[in-house]
Amino acid sequence: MEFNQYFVQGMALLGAGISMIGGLGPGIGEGIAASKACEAVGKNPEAIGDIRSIMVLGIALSETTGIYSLVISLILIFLKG
Amino acid sequence: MEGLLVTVGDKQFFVHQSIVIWLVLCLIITITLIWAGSKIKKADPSKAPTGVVLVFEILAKAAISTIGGNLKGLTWKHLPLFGTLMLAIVLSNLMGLFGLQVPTSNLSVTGTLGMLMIVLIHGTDIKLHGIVGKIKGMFEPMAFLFPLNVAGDLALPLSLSLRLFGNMLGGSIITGLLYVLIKALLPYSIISFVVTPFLHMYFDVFSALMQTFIFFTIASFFLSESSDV
Repeated sequence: MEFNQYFVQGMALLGAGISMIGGLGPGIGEGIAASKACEAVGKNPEAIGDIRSIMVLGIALSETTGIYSLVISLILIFLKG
Repeated sequence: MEGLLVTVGDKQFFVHQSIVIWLVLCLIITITLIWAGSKIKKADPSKAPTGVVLVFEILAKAAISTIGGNLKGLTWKHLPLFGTLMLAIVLSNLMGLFGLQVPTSNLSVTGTLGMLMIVLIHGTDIKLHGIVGKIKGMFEPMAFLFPLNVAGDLALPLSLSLRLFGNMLGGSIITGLLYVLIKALLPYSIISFVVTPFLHMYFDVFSALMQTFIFFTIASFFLSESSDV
């Protein structure tokens, strides 16, 4: 097997696909956050404005590691593939 | 326009489009703030504000509501820096609506903003406690947490800049790919122009406002930790 530029290109695209497995974490975590927010609104319907802003803040913070894996995929696709 | 070629003496610099937009935006904001400042000085405090004074009062209130929860007593001291940066970052994130390259989708710009926050946070810590006090503060809750504190301090500029960069770059790439697809299937895909406003609404408007809010919430939280408020 010779390691020429086609090999590097193929491996880079494969790596880009594998790194998006990191999108699993934020999906699960944000679902749990949203479900807790729904429970809290059910217990205390008057505080819906505060609950909504805290939920959105928590979701955008826990999205961070998903964004890290997206950046690695984009770098692999556009620079090496 | 891919960028500007600037010749200084006998050297040539290539300035990318996103940086040109950032510089023009900073110039416009500077001139607007100087003009609005002169109007605010002449305003009457006992009457209701109108016009320019009202716009900037709303912006200041938005900035205070973002950082005021964390920096309770020191809000007025740090408001000029955070408010102006907030205005600059919000306006530059919204540039995707005009089809231009978003300045914060360039890692140089977000890296600089992250470095700025780090210099502010660590500089305040060193000025208040001295270098010895700062290192001693890393042993604070328990002595064996020292590596975790160091790692957290090193991860802060990375996370601040990469979060903003990744969100803006991902949004602009996804909308760009959709437009390429629309162009390739042109006569049949005119119908999809009904769908693109919603993409722009999420990636360019909601994501832009949310990301600046989070950037400054996190920066003001760490600043309040290091200045013992």
